[in-house]
Amino acid sequence: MQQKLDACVSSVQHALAGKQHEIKLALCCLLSQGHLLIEDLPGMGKTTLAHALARVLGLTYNRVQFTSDLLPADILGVSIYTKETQQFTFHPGPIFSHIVLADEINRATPKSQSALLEAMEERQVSVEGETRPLPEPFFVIATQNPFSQAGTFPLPESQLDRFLMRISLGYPDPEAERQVLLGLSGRVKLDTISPVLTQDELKAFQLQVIQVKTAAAVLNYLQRILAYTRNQEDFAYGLSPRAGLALLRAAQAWGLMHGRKHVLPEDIQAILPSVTQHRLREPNDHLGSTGAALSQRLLTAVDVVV
Amino acid sequence: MFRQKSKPSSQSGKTHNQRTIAVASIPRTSLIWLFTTQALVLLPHLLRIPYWVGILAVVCGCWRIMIFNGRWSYPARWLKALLVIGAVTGTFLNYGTIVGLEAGVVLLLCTFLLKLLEMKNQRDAYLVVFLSYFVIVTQLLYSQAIPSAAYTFFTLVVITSALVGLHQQQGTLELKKTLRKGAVMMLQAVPLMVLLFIFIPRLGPIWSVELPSQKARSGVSDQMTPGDIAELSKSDALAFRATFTDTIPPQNQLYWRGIVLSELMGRTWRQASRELTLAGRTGQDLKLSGNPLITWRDQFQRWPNAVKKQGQALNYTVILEPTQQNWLYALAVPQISNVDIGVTRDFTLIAREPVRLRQQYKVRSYPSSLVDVELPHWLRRQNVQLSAFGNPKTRTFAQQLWDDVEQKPQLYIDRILQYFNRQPFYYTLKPPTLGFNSVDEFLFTSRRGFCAHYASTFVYLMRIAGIPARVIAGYQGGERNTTNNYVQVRQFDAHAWAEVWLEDKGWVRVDPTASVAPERIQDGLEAALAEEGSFLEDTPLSPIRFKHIGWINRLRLEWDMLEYRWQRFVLNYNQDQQMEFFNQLFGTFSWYKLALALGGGLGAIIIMLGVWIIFRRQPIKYDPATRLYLKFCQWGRKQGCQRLTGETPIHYLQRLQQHVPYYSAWAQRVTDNFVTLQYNPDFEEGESLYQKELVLLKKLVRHPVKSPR
Repeated sequence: MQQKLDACVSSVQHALAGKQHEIKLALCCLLSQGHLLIEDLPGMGKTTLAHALARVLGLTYNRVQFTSDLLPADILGVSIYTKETQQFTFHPGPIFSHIVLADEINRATPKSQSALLEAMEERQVSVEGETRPLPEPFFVIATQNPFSQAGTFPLPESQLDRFLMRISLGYPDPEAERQVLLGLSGRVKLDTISPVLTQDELKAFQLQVIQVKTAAAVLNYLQRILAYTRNQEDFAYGLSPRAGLALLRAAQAWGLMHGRKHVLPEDIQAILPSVTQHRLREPNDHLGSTGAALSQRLLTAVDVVV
Repeated sequence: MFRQKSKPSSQSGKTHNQRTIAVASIPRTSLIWLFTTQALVLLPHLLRIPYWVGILAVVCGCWRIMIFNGRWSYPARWLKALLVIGAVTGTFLNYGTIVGLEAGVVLLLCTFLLKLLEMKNQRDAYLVVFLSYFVIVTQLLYSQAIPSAAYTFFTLVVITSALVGLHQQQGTLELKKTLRKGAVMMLQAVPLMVLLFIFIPRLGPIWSVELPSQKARSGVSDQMTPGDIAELSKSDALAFRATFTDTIPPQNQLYWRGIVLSELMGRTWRQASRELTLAGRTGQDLKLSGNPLITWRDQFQRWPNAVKKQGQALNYTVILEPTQQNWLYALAVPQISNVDIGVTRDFTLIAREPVRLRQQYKVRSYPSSLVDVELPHWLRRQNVQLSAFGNPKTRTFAQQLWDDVEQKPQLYIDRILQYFNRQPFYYTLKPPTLGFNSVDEFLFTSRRGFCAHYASTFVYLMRIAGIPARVIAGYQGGERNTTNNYVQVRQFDAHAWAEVWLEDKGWVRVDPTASVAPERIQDGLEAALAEEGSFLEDTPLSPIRFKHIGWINRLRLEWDMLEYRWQRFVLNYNQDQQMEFFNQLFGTFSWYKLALALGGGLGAIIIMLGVWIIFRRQPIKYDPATRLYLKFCQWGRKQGCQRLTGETPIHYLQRLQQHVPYYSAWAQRVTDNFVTLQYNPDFEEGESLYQKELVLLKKLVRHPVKSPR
């Protein structure tokens, strides 16, 4: 099982060299049935990551480019009158696929954003009075540009909380970049990636994540982290119970990915920054740029053992 | 105290009530507590009380157990009445009374035991517990030493725990927890106790009641027949302690004068004054106040010509153990400012009442003063008095000697001391019994004797020559504690010596024993009896016998010190000391200030306890594995590699392994073990697998193993 997951990671690495940790986090997010937010500049390989993941897991993949004139129907789909049958038939939107890449989500209006986010939470879409389930597994990878760029609608905290993780890919190291430049890595390699997992196997893994055991000592540590964010003045607000649950799920998935049947504090520490950084900010920071520092502080300020 | 006695009969009404009202019965736990309490309360009395009380205790206890098991029922009313009457009768037969103190204690114990047989509900159990508080105090009537105080404290803890136990839910059997709770409650009460002890106005001693068991006299008796003191020397009991303000005088100057014996009747030496003799014998408070030979004011004013004060004064405080006698002990020519202590014409100290409790008194002595340089005629006559018959050999011997030295007293004394020294005289605790002409026999035949023999023979020889002389009984020497400046005098330091009157010098102390056994004066009795080996031979376990074993002696001295302090600062904390303390504290004393101090202290203690109870932090309790791991982290810190906050065990291990590569393998094992125990849910606390790993971890953490990398 672990080999299969390792194989997934290395396959994706063909397309996205030098980003092993980020790929693992993305996979972990997928296994924990959460959604992923990638915050980065354009051209860093966000699309490649999403596409490669879809391919390696044998899943369908769609991409929605968010713009300021994007309407909810553009995402969810629309019913159109068919002359032959004299009926309205539903034309599903791009959201009806296993992996959806919502590119530059902060460029769309809040109305369109919330259409996507509701679908993410409910895992179903209600269009014109009819509820249509989304495919299983369903995984949204949203990307956004850093806030300094003009003409954006930043996601509110309540929306951010729905993403299990937020990661950023960052610049590749020189060696990986050379590979891209030489055409040995990158989008060109996407076609060479073949599925490693079947959908059933993926579902089975997702079920196994929940069964990874957590000892009392680990839960104590987790709760100490939550309590710390709630008691310290430097935090504008503490982590929500949903965030706690997200931490636990992600840690379980991380443990499973490393071939364990139980969670170690290391697992929590590995996923902690990605899971918490978009949920935290300092009281006087209204742009949400301090989350990363705060989540790093959790790693050093909360004791693991006692 | 005796009201308890009527309790059983007045309970008949209550038994009637019990049929109608359902009452909480006494649970098993409480019964265990009650039994323990009773046993502890009874224990210190066990050797003092009549044996039938012990039997009563066993019978009542067994009956109670049978009642609890449901085999027997409660005793019938007539049986209870019979038991009460029996107890009263037994007490009366034993003590001849039922109102004395000892009889009272026994009666109290009996009622306390009989209560076991009619304890039916929780309320009765409370009564027994409260009664225990009362009864345990009675043992302090007999002894107030440190061990008995400590025992009382411990028993109070148990009684309080019993009270806690009565409040517990039925069926809980957490004895240790209950005991701890009781102990905490008692400890919380300690500051209050200390405060009340210091500040509550002291009344005169409440237990100044004479217990028959204390009637046995100890110390030097009112008259002396050679051989008496030898009896005293078999005891290592404490006679008194004297604390000097400056340095302790040399050992051969420590002659503690008790009584002056100037009248010889047959073989027995007595005090000249009949009142004094009687006072010693009956222990009654005689009319000492009117006696012309005793002054209760300044002696130097009363008899201005008797003493010529000379030399430096010695200041010291004596704590005398109870003797049941009136005389007190002091170094030569004492001066005292205490209205209850007088000075006799022989310059010994005398108390108004027999010393029934330990008594403390301050003395100032002028050891080099001249006494009676002009000897009054009546005093001279008293001290040369000798019967005309008996001891013919001695008389001829003395007469001859007296003529030899041309009737010069000093020379005569020297010759006699020389005689004791040169002839084969022995110092022994086992002198042979002497016949009618005892001085003759001692001087020429047996030549074995104790200090009393030498002193009395010496005085006899003096009086034959017409030189005024008298025997002094008291103590000589004592064990010195130079660090704390006190001398401990024990019964075996009892001694007798002589005083001789010389022209221009007055009364001069002569100790003939020093000529025979100089080590008795320098080093004490033990050294003098070293050859004979008879020192404390009847008490083989006396700690004084083990003086030569260093640590036992140190322990003994420490204990003596502790007892002394207890005695001095706790038991002797009386009205005077309290006043002195108050004056030190407040400048001048006033009731208003006292009330303020008491109230303020009480308030402060209660507030402090309250704050402690509210804000005390519960100690963080770690599970055993974490405790061990933290020990491991401590080891790491000592190696200079501290675990950081937020560092997981595995990350720490990596850092530690780089820091101390030689311990790498061991650290790996410890960490693996801990991580397994702590984070693998398959190892659940309390299960055998977990315990096994835990034991392994314990072993590992205890012994860091160095191994080549």
